[in-house]
Amino acid sequence: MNRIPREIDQLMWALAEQPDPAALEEFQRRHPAYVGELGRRIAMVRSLKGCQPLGQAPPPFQPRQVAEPRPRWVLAAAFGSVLVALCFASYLAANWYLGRSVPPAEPRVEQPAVAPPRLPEVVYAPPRRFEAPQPALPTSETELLPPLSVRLRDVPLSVALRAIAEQAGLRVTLAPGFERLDATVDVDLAETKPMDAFAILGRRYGFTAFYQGNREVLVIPAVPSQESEPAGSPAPSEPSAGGPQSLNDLRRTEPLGGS
Amino acid sequence: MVVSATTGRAKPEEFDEDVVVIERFLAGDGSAFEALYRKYYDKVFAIAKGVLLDSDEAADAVQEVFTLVYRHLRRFDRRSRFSTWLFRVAVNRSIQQARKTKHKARHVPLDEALGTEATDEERERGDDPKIQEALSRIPPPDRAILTLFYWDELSLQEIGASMGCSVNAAKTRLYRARERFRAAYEEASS
Repeated sequence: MNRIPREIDQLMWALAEQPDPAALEEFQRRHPAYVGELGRRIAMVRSLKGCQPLGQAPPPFQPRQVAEPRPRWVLAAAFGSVLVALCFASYLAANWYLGRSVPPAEPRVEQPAVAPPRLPEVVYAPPRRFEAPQPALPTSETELLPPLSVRLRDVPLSVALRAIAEQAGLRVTLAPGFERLDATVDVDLAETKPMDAFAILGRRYGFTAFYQGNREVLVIPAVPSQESEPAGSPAPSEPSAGGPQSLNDLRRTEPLGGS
Repeated sequence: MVVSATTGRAKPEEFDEDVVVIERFLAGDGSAFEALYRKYYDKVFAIAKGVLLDSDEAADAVQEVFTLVYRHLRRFDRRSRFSTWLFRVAVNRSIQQARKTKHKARHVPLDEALGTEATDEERERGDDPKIQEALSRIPPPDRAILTLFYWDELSLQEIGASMGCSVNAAKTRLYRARERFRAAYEEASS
């Protein structure tokens, strides 16, 4: 609105209101570019002051009816009352309009034309066969050993056992006293599991093989107690031999095991 | 030095002699209010004339202002001078009246409409057409503050109290009102 610097502007207003000759002369010396503007302001302020109403005799004072400004709470209360009245009126009008314009409609029951109901096709599922839980198969280390086939002729029993153990990846340990059993034997086994092979040979030659774990087998020159008869009891009869089978007899035995 | 003359129109705190008159009025002396009325009539009339720009409307406004003061003088709490309180009532009432009559067409004399220069007689009556035109182009609050400053010659502190604002706000308002008046005056002069 005014591009004159604010300080000079205020100074000009001050000089226009109180035009001191010395101050005017100083202003003219310092700011000659604004002398014209200062002159206009002096004339304007002088005219404005000259328009002050002249003193006149006041008319006699007589208090009159004056509409006083109402307090705000009165206006607020009035506004609130009007608002409540409007709300109530609109509620009544809405009730009247709804009650008049919408007659109660009689309920109509329409029978829809529909096709005869189709019964859903029932598909019977075949009965499920009850399967009893199977017992867990034994999974000992000896069961997992692969079957082997061995055919040996005229070898010591200890050599035959070691050969079986070596083929099965086992280590065999012969207990003391085994040397009395260590006769020359013939072994002819086909597709027989290693521990079964030991058991077959053990029954033939009078020893028992115990799996010790960690792929070790201990061979003890004795048979289980149920197989050995107590002292004084009659000797067990072999079905094929008809009596105790000697080591030499076993040498001529047909190959066992296999299929 | 010179600038301080603009804003440093402060008057020293002095005893408000009007309080004595008010006490007399409140005690039942009816002539006491008549004394206040005669004392301040010119200043209140100047405020009303400066804001309303019409002598008849200003005279009516003055009567209304003094009527309000007459009725509510008991509410005067004496924290400020009586004159300040009176001027505040006058400013508010005049601005309120000016806003009411804003839509009314002001009677414009033919010579004023033609833009002729004011005669000496007109200037003596305070009816310089350019000043009247410039005042009519600025808002009523601006007219009020110019009236208080140039016609009633109040200090910025008194103007702030009369306008209901601080001294700094009064100074700012006065500066803006002067600038608007200057622009309107130059426009009316061209």
